[in-house]
Amino acid sequence: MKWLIHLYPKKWRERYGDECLYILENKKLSFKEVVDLCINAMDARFLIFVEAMIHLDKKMRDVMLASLLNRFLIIGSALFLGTFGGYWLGTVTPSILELSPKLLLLIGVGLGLFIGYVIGVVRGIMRVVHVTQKKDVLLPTGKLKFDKSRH
Amino acid sequence: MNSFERFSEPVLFILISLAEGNKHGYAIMEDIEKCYAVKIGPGTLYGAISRMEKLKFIEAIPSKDRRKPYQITSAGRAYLQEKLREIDTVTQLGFKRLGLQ
Repeated sequence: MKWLIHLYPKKWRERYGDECLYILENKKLSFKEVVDLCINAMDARFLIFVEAMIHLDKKMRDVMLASLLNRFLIIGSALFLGTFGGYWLGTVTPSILELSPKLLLLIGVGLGLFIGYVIGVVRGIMRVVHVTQKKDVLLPTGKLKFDKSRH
Repeated sequence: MNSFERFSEPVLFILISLAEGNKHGYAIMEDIEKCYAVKIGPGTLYGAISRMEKLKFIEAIPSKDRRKPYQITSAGRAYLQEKLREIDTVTQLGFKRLGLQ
């Protein structure tokens, strides 16, 4: 069950990894405790993400917000199409039990690609944040310089 | 409910456990299980510990051992006292209204 520790973010593992690992090595975990670890690992990842956003340079946050606003039309259209498209699909398509295995596989692959894309975008954003905290970044819009005296 | 309130019960158990003396995570878990017959998973335990450390309710004592002992701070004691008083008020009112006091 030691692998469970890797569900936690690196920063958390550096601080609590050893002591938590001691418990995992010496205690027989029940299913409930495994679920508890999984949920709290997600919680720790979310907290670290929120803290990173809060402590982000104002300039960087502004750039990210502007970028989000620029994409609002795309995201809004996708949400609109997703909502109504999903409703339409729900009314006209057969239930999942009636779908052929090939179609189910196709849907699964599509969903996997989409989830992978979302994870990739989030990881990309976090990487940019991480890198810009250490060095200046050259973007098509100009060079981004940040106050690195805090880091 | 904020992120700390979600851990309010484990936080109380942990603070009460540490009020008796310094303990490491595993010992806190065992103490809670023994005293209240309640099991706190390691995920919840360290979720609560990390929040309490940020709020300076507890602090880790430097140790070369893998198991880091924790001690309750004065802020932690003040928080525990306040919460226990709140519980006491509610308990007394409950017993009174049940006609048991």
